[in-house]
Amino acid sequence: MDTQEIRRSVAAAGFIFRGSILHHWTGETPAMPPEAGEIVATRIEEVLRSTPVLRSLSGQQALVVSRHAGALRQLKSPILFTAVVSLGRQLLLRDLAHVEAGDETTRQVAEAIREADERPLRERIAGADLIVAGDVIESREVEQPTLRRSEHDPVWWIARVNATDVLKGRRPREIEVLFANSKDHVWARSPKLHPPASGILLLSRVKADEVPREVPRTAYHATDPLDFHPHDRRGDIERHIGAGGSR
Amino acid sequence: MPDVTTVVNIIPNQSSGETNQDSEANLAVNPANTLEMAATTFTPSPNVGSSNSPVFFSNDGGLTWALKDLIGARPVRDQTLRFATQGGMLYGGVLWGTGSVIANINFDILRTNDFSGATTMAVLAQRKNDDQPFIEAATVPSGPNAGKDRVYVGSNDHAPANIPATVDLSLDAGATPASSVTTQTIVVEGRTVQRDWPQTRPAVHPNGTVYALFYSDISPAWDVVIVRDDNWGSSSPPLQALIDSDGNPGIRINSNVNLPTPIPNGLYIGNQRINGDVAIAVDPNNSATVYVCWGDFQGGTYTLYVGKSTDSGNTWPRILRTIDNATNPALAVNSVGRVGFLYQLAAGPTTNQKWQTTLELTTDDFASITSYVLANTPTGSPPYTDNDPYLGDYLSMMALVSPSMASSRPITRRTSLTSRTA
Repeated sequence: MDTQEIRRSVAAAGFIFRGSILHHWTGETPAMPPEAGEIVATRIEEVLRSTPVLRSLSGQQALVVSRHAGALRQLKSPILFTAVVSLGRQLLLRDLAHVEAGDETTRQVAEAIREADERPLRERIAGADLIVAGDVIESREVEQPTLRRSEHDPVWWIARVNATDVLKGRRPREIEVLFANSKDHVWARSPKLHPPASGILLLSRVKADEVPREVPRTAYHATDPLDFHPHDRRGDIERHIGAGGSR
Repeated sequence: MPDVTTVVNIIPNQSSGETNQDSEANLAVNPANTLEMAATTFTPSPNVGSSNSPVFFSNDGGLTWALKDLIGARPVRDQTLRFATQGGMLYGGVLWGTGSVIANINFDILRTNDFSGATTMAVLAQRKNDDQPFIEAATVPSGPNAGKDRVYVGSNDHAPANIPATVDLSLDAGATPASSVTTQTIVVEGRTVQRDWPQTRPAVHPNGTVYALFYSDISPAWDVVIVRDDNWGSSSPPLQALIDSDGNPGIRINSNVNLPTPIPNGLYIGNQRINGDVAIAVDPNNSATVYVCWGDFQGGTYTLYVGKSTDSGNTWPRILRTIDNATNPALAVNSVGRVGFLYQLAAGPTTNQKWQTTLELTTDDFASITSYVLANTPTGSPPYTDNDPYLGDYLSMMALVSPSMASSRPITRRTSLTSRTA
């Protein structure tokens, strides 16, 4: 498996672990159609990438449905790139790819995982029109007709930001930032830019079809949880800006 | 025979360390095989970086559960599931997408009968600009259309200027392939209104009677309105069998309701945002008997009211039950006419308030009540983190005959708890 293939496998997988094959499995196995592949019983030795809650599954057993079960069973210490099919009494996974965990391969997988973990922030930075370090000095609600609201509305507010440094883009005369002040679960993690919030803002121009008419078209928006970071993340953000050559 | 109540934490053991706010539970039980159950909450996928969203599934009557990515979209917002009464097909009404405004959020009607987790639900219909899809499903039991699945999704359509109560329906939702399924969008609001409120809740009887219940905002008060169709929603015009004294379709059950405003944050009780509640259930043995519940905010107190009609929704002689400081009502009627009323009550002083998820059972319209507190949890623990809804607003309840009990006992109850699990 070359580096590109490892990267693709990491990107496709929802659960990556280093495991061992259990050649004598006596437990219950779910019924699977033959075309899905064979079931291979494994032990999770080390979780390499997962959702936070599944990081604690090291030492647990997992059933892996594989179309290449024969080859998988030959591996001593496979790294498995899988998708979680069912998380219940048993953990049932689908084998997307696997590779023997040699030193070099392990290093390449770790690097690909690091890249994948950073990808959302990297893409957010690449897509930003303006990145500044600054302080929110004022915030106000945008007037909207209340009768048309839904529970999922963003409840738009505008923050005025004093930029102390511009990390990407040109410094505008004034920075107004639209943000979602809603507490609805979809917006709960969206930045709430009320004074005295201070940090690094990844800003994009507002989209005319998504904001009220009252919002100046020169305004920016910051609605993604990745659009606002504490100052101590500045080094990371500058590293990504530099890597993208977009300063 | 005494009632048996089973309360299960549906978070799988292998993810019991999770700390997500898994609010807004909604439960579906397969009437053709009550061992099969499906539930949704605001729970993240078990796959990191997944573009899908999960459904909880049980095939042992709810004793154990597995999380599977059955919804091929994310992030999901409002979501409800129902099985058809025959054949085992599961249907869903789901809002999803990253749009900033509701006009850009997708509303899908989905289906699947593959619960392995290997595939995601097929998309039967998709449109945008809608809120609170709430689904019911049934299978035509006899006659020329016997075996056809029929699906009804009540919602609040934001595309028209008056944001009306709407029912999307399919008269053959089980047709294959999925791409051949057709749906209709029916506006059930028949009056001049400022807007309708987000909740539109349908109920289906196996003889083809379909009801829908919703709030109309007719300033300065709200109406609670019920509409009906006597032929699966295929009458012409559909869902207009009930005509009120003003000549308009839809009987106004109550015309003096007050609701907290503005949406979305006019009122909080016990960290739960309150934007109104409606629930409806029809007696499976008599489609003319229908129970409804609605919320009303008068004098600073939010109250749930339960009413009953025995003439197919034409008249509503009296209030059967009132509960102050409660939300998330659900109603069900079992095969021997026993009524279940489920709600979540904010009980006790604010310094030590509890959410009491309560099931009341009655056979005499609440003259006597058997009551069970299914959960009794602090309203402030886990702490409110400015993440609404704290509980959810999609509680539901079904009354079904359990195969294990059918020979000895007429019913068992499956209740959907809006639980907070961590």
